[in-house]
Amino acid sequence: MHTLLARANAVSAFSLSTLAALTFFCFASTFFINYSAPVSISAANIVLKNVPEYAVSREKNDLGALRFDLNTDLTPLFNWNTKQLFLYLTAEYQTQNNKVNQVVLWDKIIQRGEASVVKLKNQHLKYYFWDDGNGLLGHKNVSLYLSWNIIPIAGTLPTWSGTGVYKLAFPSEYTQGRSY
Amino acid sequence: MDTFMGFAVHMDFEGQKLAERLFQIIVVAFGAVGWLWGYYVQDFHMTVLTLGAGFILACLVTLPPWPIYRRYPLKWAPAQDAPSAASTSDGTSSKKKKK
Repeated sequence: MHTLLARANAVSAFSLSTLAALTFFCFASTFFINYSAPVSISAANIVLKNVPEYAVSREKNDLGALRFDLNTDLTPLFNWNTKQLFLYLTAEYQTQNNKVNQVVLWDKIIQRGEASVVKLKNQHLKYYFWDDGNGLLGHKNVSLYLSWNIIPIAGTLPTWSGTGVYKLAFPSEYTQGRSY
Repeated sequence: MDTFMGFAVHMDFEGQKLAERLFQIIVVAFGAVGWLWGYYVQDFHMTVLTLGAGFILACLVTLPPWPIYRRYPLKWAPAQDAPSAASTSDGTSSKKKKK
């Protein structure tokens, strides 16, 4: 403290410690918040094909395709500790091969300051809806739901799901030709 | 005397104590107000900016050796004549005196 540089060092170190404490309190003030939100999903143009997935093998697997509508208001999720949201649409279903199948069909990043109301109509899937076999044929109970990973300024990265599930039913016959 | 770029930057002991207490109060006060303000507007950026303002103010108040930090100069004992070399027979004691 007797020289200028010693004082500059002391002030900087103390300010940084204070900033660390404030950041922790910011995290603590948002840790117990419920980050769920209502979501409405619906799907249309449901198509099922049986085609070879060459990336894995030559065997023919089920490939689903659909268009979906998605409406949700995620504005309440943006508090002072939210940096961005990673939204992803999951299809979850049970087959004879696997008790739980989860396929991510679509995702989106919403950064702080961007429009946080999601309104999608007739949206294409972003990723292929592959089953690892023939489990989608005639499947009447595929759940579509939206989840999000909250990327905070400081603290944990919680994953929450929206309330609102769409039950998807696949046709009992494969679609022929280029129908989508 | 300590100098920085030609300027004397020395503070006396009481001044150092006062300077440390002052920057602690300033930084913590700005941090607390900034936290509440950031919570109110739901923007942590405001908290960081407010703390930054407190940091700059603390630097202005406590880094330069303002006269307020030099009010208690040390009172040194008056200089005495150095003892003559003949009176020191013990080697270790003379070393201590040199320090």
